[in-house]
Amino acid sequence: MDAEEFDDFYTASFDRLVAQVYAMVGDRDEAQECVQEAFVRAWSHRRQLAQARAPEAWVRTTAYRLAVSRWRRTVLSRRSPDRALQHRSHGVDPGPDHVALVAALAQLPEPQRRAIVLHHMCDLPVSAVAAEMGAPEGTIKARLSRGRAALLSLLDEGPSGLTEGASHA
Amino acid sequence: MRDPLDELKNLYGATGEPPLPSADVRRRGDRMRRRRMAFQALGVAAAVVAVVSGGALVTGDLNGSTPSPGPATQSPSPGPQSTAPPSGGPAPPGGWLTEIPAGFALGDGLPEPDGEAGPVKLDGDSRSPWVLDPCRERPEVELRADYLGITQRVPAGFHQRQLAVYWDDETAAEVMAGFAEELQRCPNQQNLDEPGGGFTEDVWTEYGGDLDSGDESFTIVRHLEQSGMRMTPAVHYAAVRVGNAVLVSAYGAEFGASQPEQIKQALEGPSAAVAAIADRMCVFATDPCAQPVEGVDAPEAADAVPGYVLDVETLRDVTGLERWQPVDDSEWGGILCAKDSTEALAGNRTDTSRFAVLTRGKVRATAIVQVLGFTPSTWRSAGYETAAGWLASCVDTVDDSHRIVSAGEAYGPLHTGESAHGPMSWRSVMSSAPEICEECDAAWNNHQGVALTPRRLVLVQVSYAGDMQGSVDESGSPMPELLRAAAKAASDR
Repeated sequence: MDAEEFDDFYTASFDRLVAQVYAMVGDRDEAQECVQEAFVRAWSHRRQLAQARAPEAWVRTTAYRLAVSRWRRTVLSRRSPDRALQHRSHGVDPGPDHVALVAALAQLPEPQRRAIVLHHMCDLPVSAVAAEMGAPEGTIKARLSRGRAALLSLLDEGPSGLTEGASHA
Repeated sequence: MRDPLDELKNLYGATGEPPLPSADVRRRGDRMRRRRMAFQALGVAAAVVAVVSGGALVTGDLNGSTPSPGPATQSPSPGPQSTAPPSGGPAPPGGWLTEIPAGFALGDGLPEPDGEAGPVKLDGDSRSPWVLDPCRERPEVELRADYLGITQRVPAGFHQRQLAVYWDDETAAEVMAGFAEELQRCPNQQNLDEPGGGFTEDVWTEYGGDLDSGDESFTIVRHLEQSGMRMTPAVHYAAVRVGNAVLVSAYGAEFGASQPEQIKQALEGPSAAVAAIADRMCVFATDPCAQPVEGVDAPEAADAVPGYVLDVETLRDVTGLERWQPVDDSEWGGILCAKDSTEALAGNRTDTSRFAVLTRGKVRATAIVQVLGFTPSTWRSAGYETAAGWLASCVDTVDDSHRIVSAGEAYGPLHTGESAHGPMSWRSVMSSAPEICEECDAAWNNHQGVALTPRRLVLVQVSYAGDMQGSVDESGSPMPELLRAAAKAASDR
């Protein structure tokens, strides 16, 4: 991948990847920083990236792992583990539905949340979700089914129950 | 709200701060890549590096002027000198100490793991190659009597320390001489063989004097030059021998400075830390100091970790299973969700006890209890957070024989709580159970947790036979009662 191809790839996919990682980790600023860092690593490993079948999946997975790793370091440095739900974005203020949805997602077990985002937001087929998550397709289907049910149930309960007990990766 | 799954797509609409320009991203990526390649070229990682041309070692002196790149015929001096092995002088009374004392503080002076510095990882593999290995051919690893290594990632660099003990001082001196010979012999031009085209760089080794410690020592800095420009990533090595023991320390960093005096200043801290460890290596000297010395806990030290912080009676009471019995099967590892071995938690005193419930010779339940002690003790809380992080991010593939799998839900939520002695975390996951049967629906309900106490870290895993067709069953979880009992015992003893 040469510089021009990388620039095109970066420009075309950055916002999309930030939104996807945001849905997975529940913090837009964290998502943006991790996607940014993932692109730095992507360029640093550009030959490996060029050989990857799906460069966007490579960046998404790297960004997600960085977010998990950063969360661990956050715990290590004893910052609030609930940062995942603290809103400190400088961008457009999200609407209440948006906030409720992200908060509900954050309550799902990590494997369910990630499967739902990959399938329903990234439009990946179950087989691609299974490949990206390293799990059997049957397991992904079960996670999707349980995750959808849990998400609907959480949203039916309203926002009051969505501010505590978040699990982040 | 509309269908929340449709609503997910609306998350694409909200944008945050604009990203860095792509040119800046590439610049940062190039910098990261250069650093990685530099450390590889300096012999730190297992890189694909091929020597393409011969040449003498080009040396400089950190106390003097910067050496200029020269032809292969440049005289290699001054530098760590090849030392003739001693004549096999008298061994200490009682013979050479051939075991590294438990609790030897090899990690002293390293930054405490926090938001920047990573955890300290231990390496007990006596065949681990020396980090100071420019030619990558050090056969004397076979001759080691004992070995301990540690590594730690720090921002834009790393620390690595290795301590090897030999059967006598003569062998240890030969190892030191081997370093010098290798540095003299290895060429200063290396081809970094990358897919798509490699490139050649000059490797410079600058002699930094000795540590004024031990029987013999030297320090060097290795760095790269491209087109005559010194690259900022560099590795500082220190090697010291005390009696039959050899310590090698490597500190890789982006020093950011190109002047020898500035680099020398930046290395004062690491050199002092290595010298302090060398002082503690006096236990290996011809005239050994008595144990314990500061920073060295004798094996019989009072802070040795207690064994069996959970016993059969406690397991029976909490789990309701009657047939618990201690077993001795070192094949069993630690908690299933561990990303790495518990050695990665940097505990340097460990006790593991194992129990099982057997029915007609078949294992129906297992329990593994690990207690870790720490030197320095401040790493204990970092060890807890790391282990709790393992539980939080437990992934599908755990090891070759146990996959986290279930037709239903394989994961329970992560729980956190408190014992009277500190925080606890626990989680249940379902995994395959090849110990029960290879081609059936048997699975393990694994209940695993970690508890921090004022002096120790305790990890517990209890696994019950279950059915893969169901979901992980938390109703029978013995946590947190077992964690509380183990934490109490680990604190009381």
